[in-house]
Order: sequence, then structure tokens, then C-alpha cells
Amino acid sequence: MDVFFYIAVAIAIFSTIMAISRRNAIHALLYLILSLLAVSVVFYLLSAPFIAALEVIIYAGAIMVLFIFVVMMLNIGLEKSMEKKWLNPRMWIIPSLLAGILLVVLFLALSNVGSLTENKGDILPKQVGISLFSTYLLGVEIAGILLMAGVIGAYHLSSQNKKVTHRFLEKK
Amino acid sequence: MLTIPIETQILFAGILFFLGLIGLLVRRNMIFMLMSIEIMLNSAGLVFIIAGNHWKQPDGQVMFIFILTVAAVEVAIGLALILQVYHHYKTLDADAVNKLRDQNSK
Amino acid sequence: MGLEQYLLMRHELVLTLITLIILIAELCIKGDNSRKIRPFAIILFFIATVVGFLPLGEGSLFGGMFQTNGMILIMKNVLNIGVLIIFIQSYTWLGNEENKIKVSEFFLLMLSTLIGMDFMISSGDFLMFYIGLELATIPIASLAAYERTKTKSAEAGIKLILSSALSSGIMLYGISMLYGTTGSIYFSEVAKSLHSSNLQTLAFIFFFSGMAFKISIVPFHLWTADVYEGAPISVTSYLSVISKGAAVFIFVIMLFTVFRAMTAMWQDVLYITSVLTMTIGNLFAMRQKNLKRFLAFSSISQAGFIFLGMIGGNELGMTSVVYFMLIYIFSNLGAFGVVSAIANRTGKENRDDYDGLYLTNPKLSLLMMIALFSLAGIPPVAGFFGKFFLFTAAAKGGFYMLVLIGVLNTIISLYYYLLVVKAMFINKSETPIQYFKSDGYTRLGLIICFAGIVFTGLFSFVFEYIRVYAFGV
Repeated sequence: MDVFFYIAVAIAIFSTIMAISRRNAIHALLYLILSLLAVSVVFYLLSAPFIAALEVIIYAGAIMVLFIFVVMMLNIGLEKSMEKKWLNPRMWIIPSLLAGILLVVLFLALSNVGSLTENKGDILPKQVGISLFSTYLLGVEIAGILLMAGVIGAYHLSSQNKKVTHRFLEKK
Repeated sequence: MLTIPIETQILFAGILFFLGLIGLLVRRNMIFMLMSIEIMLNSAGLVFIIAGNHWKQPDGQVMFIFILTVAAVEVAIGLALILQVYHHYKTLDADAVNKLRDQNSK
Repeated sequence: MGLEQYLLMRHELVLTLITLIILIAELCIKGDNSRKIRPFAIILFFIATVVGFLPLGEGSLFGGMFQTNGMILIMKNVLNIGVLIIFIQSYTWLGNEENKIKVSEFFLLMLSTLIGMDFMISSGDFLMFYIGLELATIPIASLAAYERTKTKSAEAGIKLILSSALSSGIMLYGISMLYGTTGSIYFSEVAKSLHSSNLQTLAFIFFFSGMAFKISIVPFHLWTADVYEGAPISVTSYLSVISKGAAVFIFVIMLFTVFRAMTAMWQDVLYITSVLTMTIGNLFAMRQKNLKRFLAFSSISQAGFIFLGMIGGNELGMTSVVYFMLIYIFSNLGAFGVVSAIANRTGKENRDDYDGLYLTNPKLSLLMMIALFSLAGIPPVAGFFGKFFLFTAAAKGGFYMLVLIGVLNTIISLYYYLLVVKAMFINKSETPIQYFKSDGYTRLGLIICFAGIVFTGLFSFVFEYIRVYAFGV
């Protein structure tokens, strides 16, 4: 099992280095997603399968998509010859190779461990859920307030530009 | 089960954390700076999972879920602000977005 | 196990209720009427402040996640008073044409950060502490970028979110190492298992640097001046007084309880940073022409003085820190109130613009003078007693050299506070700021600050009242 851990960590570190050193924001984000996937394998190996799933769904899925969305919207790091670059294998061969290694590791890890329930060291999602909604209930409530404040803040920041034109038109 | 000592595991998380810190300090593009902060938060979460696994408690995982929530809010507000800055400055270079300091150093 | 036990969370529950009421009121009110939210919110918050002073026992809830006692209650009340003054002072500014469509957001975001601070102060474990801290910081970033038409405002917002996210990331890493070494995130458990191993020392340093960002301690102060200048004045005063105050309060509680076993170590850290902060804050404050920037650097150097109270680790220190914060709230808000009243009317924020202010606006200049004297710590005013008790607490802990450096820095700081006073009273100007009459709310805010500075200085029972609940290492 240990070897899988080392491979996953190596991929995570390598792709993080790539992510912070790329010029092009989209490439960096793709490397970052890869790094998060590698970390999620580490989570799985650390007997936290639920967190591994959350890492993929929320971090790599939702949060990174937000980033990509903004990068696309602002059109930064995209040059005119973008189309050509994307077809250039040098741009995508390393990330996909790394992602492939991760896949193999995950596959081997799954086939080696057997079923999850046999592993007594695992902290199962059920335990996490019980702890979350009994011991740490107050934290969940405050997280709710935090999310509400986040929604209000983001709404307030992004709604402004529209209203200017709107009022301007009204005056006419 | 892993037989790797917890110190080694934490060391790996530490490497990720410092990569994030380096990214934040070296990069001047604000999108990259926000990304580096995500790397840092994620590696702190990794330490929580490692420690939770070490102590066999669900607390570490619960903490990670909260870090995830906070990271999402932080990114949402951060990106909204980045859009705002881009609207004003037409650039995301942190050195260019420095009117406040420039006008005072003259 | 009745519902009464939840009364321990009274501050937070009342604030949450107010937030929801304002949110619903915003949905019901249409069009131009949104300005009517201002008096409504201020009255609601005034009620909350009064309710906060009702007596309340101590105890803990949710298995120790939430704890409260007399000291924590006083801290929350101090913050409430400050926020009430800020709400009153921001009344005029919120009435401006460009702000009228988003009045309620201002109150909603401010109140949710205050909820975060209250939860943070009474947190009993690191999870609550972390979420409270984030709730207290993230919404302020969107408040700093409140004025969309101003480029500076957006810049202040992005600088605030990047630096605060960095600091909370570093702090979180420290917390995660504490959890790794102690196996618990509860303050009481962590305090028992701390024994200054290398990793725990490192964890404390990480934790400290996160905290130092929030309190803007040198060398983590770089964001302060830019954010303070770019943000709207109400938000700046909120950042410099309430945010900083909440961070100072929880920091002092955690140093005295959680990190009790590491006292010798954190005393060294506080010693160095406090000397650096006082000195560098003073040196930079001298060079500033813009008054918001000037007050930013002055507030950095004040943070250095606050550390003098913490470093002794005695119960007198905790009292003096809370007492100093109370005086600091009144004095700093008084100074910001005058700056804001003048900026609202004329748009002028520079020291040169204040030349000859006494001739045209004597009352404003007098209040500004008293507030600045209080910040500087000149004897008859409240600020003197605040600083005096801080110095006494440090001397009681045996840090005589530090007290000497603190006194020297106080003398240096007199110079730049007096520069502003000189501009108002002695300098002549061709084009002084014309006489103007402020509206009722601005005056009310300034009168409260004036009364606060005089009251807390004259009556010693405030100090004694706080001292009853204080505790040491």
C-alpha cells in the first residue's frame, strides 16, 4: 500500500509545481485539478473515503470550475493561436500521462484492499455524519450563516454594474 | 493500511503547503495567487485527515468538511472581487493594481 | 436540559434574529424606500446592545464548543458599543445617492461579521474558532469594495481578501499541526497536552502569524495602510476597531488558556513583535499626509502597545487590554468620525486641508483634538489611563526594558498627533474648509465618542468592573 501513497504524493507535488509555474492560467488550473485528484487518492489511502469523494466533487469539481469560468470570462492567458496550441501534444501529454498513473494506482489500490468494510481502521462516512450533526452541530449552523453572508457579498459585488446602466436608462 | 510513519505523511503535506506559499509569493497574477491559497488550504486539510487517521477520530474529517465550505466562500468572494478589479484596471497583475501605494510614495 | 440553556448564546441569537429581520425587511421594501432601513437597523441594534448588558451566568454549550463567562460577555458588549457608533456614523454616508440601492447589504454584512466575532470570542474549540474567524473576515472584503465606482475601493477589497485568506491559511496549518500532536481540537484538551515540542512550537508560530495578520502586527502589517485608505471610512473604522478588537480579545484568551504551557515561549515572540510594531508603526505614521493612512499606521502602533498588556500574562494585563480597547474604540471612532464628517461634506482627507479648521469649525476641531490626545495618551484624557495600565501590567510581569521602549514610543507618537492638532489650530490657510452644520446622526455619533472618552477616563469603576472577571495565566 505504501508505494501507492508515494506515487500519489509524487504526482500531487509535481503537478502542484507545474500549476504554480505555468504562464497560461487554463493549463495551471488543469494541473491543479490533477493535483487535487492525487490528493484525493491520498485521502482514500488514509482511510477517509468520504473525504476523497468530497475532494473530487467539491474541490476539483465545483471550486475549480468556478476558477475556469472566470478565466474564460476574462479571456486571460489565451492567445490568438490558442487553437493550434491545444492541438499540440506537448501541451496535454504530461497531464494526461500523470492522470493515467493515478488511475492505475487507484485501480491497484482498490483491487488490493478488497472490500472497504473489512478494513477496521477506516472512519466510515456514517461516523463522520453522526459526529458532524451531533457534536459539531453548532459549527454547521455557523457555516450556514457564513454561506449566507457569502451569497449576499457575492451578489452585492456582482450586481452593481447592471444597476448602473439600469438607472442610467431610467433617467433618460 | 499504510505503514508510513505519520511524520513522513505530514512532511508531504508540508511540501504541498510550502509550494502554495511559494506560488502566492512569487506569482503576481491574482488568479494564481487565489489558486495558491487553495493549495495551502487543501494541504492544511490533508494534515487534518492524516491526524484524524492517526488518532482514529472523525474530527479530522469533520474539520476538512468545514475547510471545504470556507474555501468555497472564499473563492466565490475572491473571484467576484477579481472581476471587479479587472473591470477597473483591465489587468490582473498585482503590481499594476497598486494605485494606493504609488500615489503615496511620490 | 430546557431551552433556557440556550440563553447563554443570547448575543449571537439576538444578532442572528436582527440579521434575518433586516433581510426580510429588505425583501418587502421596494424602490427608493430602502433608505428607511437605516433608522430601523440602528434602533434594532441599539436594543441588541442594551439586551447585551443584562446579567448572564457562565457556562458552556454543545459539549464545550461554545463557552461564555463574565469576561467574554464584557468583550462582546465592548464590540457591540463600537458597532453601534459605527452604524450611527455611517448614516449620512449611506444616504448618498450612489449607495441607496444597497443600504441593507451594508447592515447584513456587518452584522454577519459581528456574529462571527461573537462566536469566535466564545469558541471552545478550534473548529468554532476557525469558522468564526472566517465569518468575521470574508464578508468585510466585500464591504471594503463597497463603492463600486471607486477604483481604490476594489483594490482595497482584493488586497484584503488575499491577505486575510493567506493569514487564515497559515493559521489553519498551525491548528492542523496542533491537532496532529495533541489529538483533540478542544481548547481544554489541547492545553493539557501541550509541552513545547518542536512541532508544537512551530504550530504556535504559524498560529501567531495568522493572528498577527488580523491584528496587523509588524511584519504582517503591509496590507493595512492600503486597505484602510481604499475602503469607505465606515468600513475602515470597522476594520481598525472592531475587527482588530475581536482578534485581540480571542488572542488574549487563547494565550492565557490554550497556550498556557508555552508562556515563556510566547512572551519572547510578543516582546520582539511588540517592539517592532510600536517603532515601525510610529516611524511610518509620521510620514503620512492622508489622514486615513495616518490613522492606519497609528492603529498599527497602538496594536504594539496592546501586546504590552498581554505579555505579563497576569490578570491585570487582561483587564488593561479590555479597558484599553474600550477607550481605543471611543478615541479612534471619534477621530474617524471627524474625518468622515469632513470627507462626506468636502471630500478632503489630507492633513493640509485641515489647516485653520479651528476658525471655521471649532467643535469638530476640539473633538478631533481630544480624540488624538486620547490616542497619544496625554494625561487628562482617557487614553492616558489606558496606556498607564498597559505599562503597569508589563512592569508587573518584569518587562521593564519593554516599558521603557513603550514610553519612548509614546513620546515619539506625540509628535505626529500634535502635527494634526497644529494644522487645525495654528496653521493659517488661504482656503480653509468652510463652516458646515452636520446632521443629527453624525453629531450623535460624535457626542457618544466624546462622552465615552471623558466617561471612561473619569470614572474608575469601569476598570474595577472589568477587573472582577479577569484572569491570568
